[in-house]
Amino acid sequence: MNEKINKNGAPVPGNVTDEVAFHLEMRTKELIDQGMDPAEARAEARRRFGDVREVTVATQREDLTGRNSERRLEFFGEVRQDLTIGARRLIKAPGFSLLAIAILALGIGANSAIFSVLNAVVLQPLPYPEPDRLVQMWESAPERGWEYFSVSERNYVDFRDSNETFENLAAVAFSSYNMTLDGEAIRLDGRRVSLEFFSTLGIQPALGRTFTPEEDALGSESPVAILGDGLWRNRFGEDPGIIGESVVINDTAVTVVGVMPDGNFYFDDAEVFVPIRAGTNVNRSDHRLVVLGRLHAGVTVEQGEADLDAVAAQLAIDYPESNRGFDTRVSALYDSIVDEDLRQALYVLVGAVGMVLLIACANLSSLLLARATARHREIAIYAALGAGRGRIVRQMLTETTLLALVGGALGVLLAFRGMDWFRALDPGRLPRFETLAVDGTVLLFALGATLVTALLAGLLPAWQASGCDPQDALKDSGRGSSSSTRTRRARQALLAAEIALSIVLLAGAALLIRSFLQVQSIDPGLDAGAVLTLGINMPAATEEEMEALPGQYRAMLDQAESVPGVLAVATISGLPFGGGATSMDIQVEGRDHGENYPSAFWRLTSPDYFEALGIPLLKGRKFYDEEGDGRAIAIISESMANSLWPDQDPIGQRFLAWRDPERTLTVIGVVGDVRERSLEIEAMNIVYLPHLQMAGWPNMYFVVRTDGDPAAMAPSVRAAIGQAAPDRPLTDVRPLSDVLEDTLGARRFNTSLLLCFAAVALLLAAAGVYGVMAYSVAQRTSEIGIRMAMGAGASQVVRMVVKQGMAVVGIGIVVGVLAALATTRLLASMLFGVSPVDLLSLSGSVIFLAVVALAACALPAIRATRVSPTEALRDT
Amino acid sequence: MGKDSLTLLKGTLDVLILKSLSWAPLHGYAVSRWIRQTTDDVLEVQEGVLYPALHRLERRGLVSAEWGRSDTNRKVKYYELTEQGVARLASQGKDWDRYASAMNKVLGATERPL
Repeated sequence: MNEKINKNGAPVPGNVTDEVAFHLEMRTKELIDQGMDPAEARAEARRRFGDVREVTVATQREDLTGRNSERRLEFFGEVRQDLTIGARRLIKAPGFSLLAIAILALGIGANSAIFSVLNAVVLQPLPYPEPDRLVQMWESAPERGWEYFSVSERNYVDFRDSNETFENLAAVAFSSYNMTLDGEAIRLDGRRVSLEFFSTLGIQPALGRTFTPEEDALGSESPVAILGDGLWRNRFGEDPGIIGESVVINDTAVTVVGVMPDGNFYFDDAEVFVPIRAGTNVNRSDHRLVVLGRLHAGVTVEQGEADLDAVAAQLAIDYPESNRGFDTRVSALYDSIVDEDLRQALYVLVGAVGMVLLIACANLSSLLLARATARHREIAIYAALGAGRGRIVRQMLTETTLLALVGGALGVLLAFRGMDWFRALDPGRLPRFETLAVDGTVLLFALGATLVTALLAGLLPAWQASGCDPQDALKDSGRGSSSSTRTRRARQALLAAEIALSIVLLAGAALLIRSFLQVQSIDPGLDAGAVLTLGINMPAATEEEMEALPGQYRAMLDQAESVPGVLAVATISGLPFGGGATSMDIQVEGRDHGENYPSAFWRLTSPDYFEALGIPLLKGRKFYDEEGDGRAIAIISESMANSLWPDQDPIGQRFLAWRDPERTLTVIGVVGDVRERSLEIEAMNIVYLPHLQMAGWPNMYFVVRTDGDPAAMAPSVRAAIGQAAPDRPLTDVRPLSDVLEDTLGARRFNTSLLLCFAAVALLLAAAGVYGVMAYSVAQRTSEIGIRMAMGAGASQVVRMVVKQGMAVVGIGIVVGVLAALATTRLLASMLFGVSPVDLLSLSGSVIFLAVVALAACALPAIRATRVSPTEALRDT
Repeated sequence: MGKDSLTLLKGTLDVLILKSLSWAPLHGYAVSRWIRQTTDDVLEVQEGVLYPALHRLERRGLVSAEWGRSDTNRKVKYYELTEQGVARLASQGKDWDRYASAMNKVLGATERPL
């Protein structure tokens, strides 16, 4: 490259090495001429020259940069050069690079994964046009404990027709249907929806059409249905010819008029949609509808609620019997899907994982500082050569960015794995979780996190290294100089910060774990082990069918009971922890409750229910089959008995179910309380009614106590029940313990994640302590050697080193405890049975971290004592 | 050397090199020797530092370089000032004069601040 024509015309190849060699030779000669001994002269020439290799590299670097390039080209040239040099250096230090990349991958991966959850659940707008105009409405009677209550059909019709602020108000009712397809009976998850459902949400069928006003009109009987996308794909082979064809739903021929679009719609998981014909149900006290609305443009949620309240006030006057005390609640549809607690929980997780990234940053920063010290002289030479501080900072940041990009790319791969892990963790009822994916937004976030990390981690070391005094650096070996003291201080500060953040995470995780254990230790009031559940839908359209039902159920129960290994079988209208709730107002016979009627869940059961679930019968007796029909009796839960008849024997007492004198029931038994809704919610009042008294209730569950693994019994129980009811599909076949576990899903999800973050934080902090102490010990090898030569025992040296390390850890712990006290409040809504300021959790975290830090300190200290004094001293 | 040596100011090295080449082309070692002798070794700097600086000046077109043979028939790289280099030396010399005279005025000042 440096070939030039020499003065005689012949090319003389030459390079930097030649140039340097010539210099050294001439200098040696000059020194010899001055009277120096040749060997001494050669050494002196080299000493005065400086590090030959470094100078050669630096000079070649100047050549590499290219000649006469324009400034901008030069800039890019320099960037490329920085990259090349950076990459080369990183490859030359594989240990450092791999460690740094692993730290970064962990930090960025965890952050991207959590961000993808936040993105799917919280950040994504609802997938409807102008989603901020969408609301959900409820009827509300707070005095009766019904803050957010479903809407009754007749009331819905009045709200729909009398409001002034809504473009549309739509009604949705959940129901299930049986479809007979090629001779096979399948159960369909269905919705009865009003005409406005489609216009409110702004969705159109992918095929065919929506319902016509005539089809949805009160009194209409035209049998039409719209199929869900999933059903159409899986059962009809995506046949577009299905439009206009007829299918059999609940034993009736129904014409398919449309197919719903594919997409993540809040209500699209339904398989079939039929017109609701709102108002068919004339009972204004029968609240069953989900009501969605689209506000007129420019109307606020509050204005919408005020408008509907005015309608409700008129209804209370017109129909005092059913509507007195009711007004409405309206909230943005987004808020009703993604509730405040959930958002808060996710932001807590985001904050926690952000802390993990900060710890990773501090860790990396510390590693870079140590490395910068080692590269001290190299940097000093650049500085002496006139490389500006900016250029040096840039070179070092380029290197860090390179690391971060590799780490970030691996992190994204980790995030992809994380998606599977999240799905396996199954957070249960997390809305919109099915849309979870590493998409463009997440990738963009990962890139941003990577660059911010590179900057955060790299800036301090680069700035500090570039600020060193070239004279100082070139002269001494870098040990004990002012800049290495600065480096040590900086690393100690970073370490203290890591420790503090780890304490916060550990304390948070400890709080959640304690809450989780508290929840798990709660007695649900029944024994869910070894119980299998199966759902069945038995609609009865005619009087005849109604009358046949008790016999059919009895037959199914008998069949199931005859399966070997089955101990007890019963039916129940709603599974404990299953999420469904049916409630009624009650009035004790002859008692004036004022406006405050007590309310209770009600459940229809067959006689052996309490036996099957291990719910203790405390007083009185259970049901018998024969008495169900026509006799007005009930079994009630313990807390209900205690609150209604505190000082009396509840057996034989009478109350009006639904406050209806014609449904006056006599209490025949009292059973133990069951936390029906979830372990975290106090037991409700429950009224158990003999199933066969209301056999027309279409959706029932079987609960089957077995003497072994309930899941293994499923096929035989299924077959037995199927024998008695061949055309009725069985759904939700699973152990009751799974149903119970589901209610813990979100809690387990949060707890596992926070625990995972705390573990990573602890690992990084331990690595940080170890790194800083190992470095400090290495720097003080000679000092330690001298101490030991002077008679200091190994234990004394270890104590000295550990004391020094733990001083830094101690500062971190103090700061961490203060920070934890200030921040664990944010967890309040996620805790159960534990105060956010919990001494046990906090002190446990401190002790745990201190022990780990102690071990991380002691390891390099012990190693230091193994160094022989002579070796240590030679090293100076 | 030692206590009396001055820290090499950034950019100073460039001026020194340009000045040393203002009479005739020189090889690196000669430049180094000239700087040492002219400054009475006051500017303590590792001699190797010269070479990246020379190559940088070459890259920027302030000096040009040719390989030749020395008196002892060694391969030697000669550096020569370009027109640009001459101009740079002149302008830097002026800057330096202005700076030095300002410093002189300050240090020789007789009036106290108001």
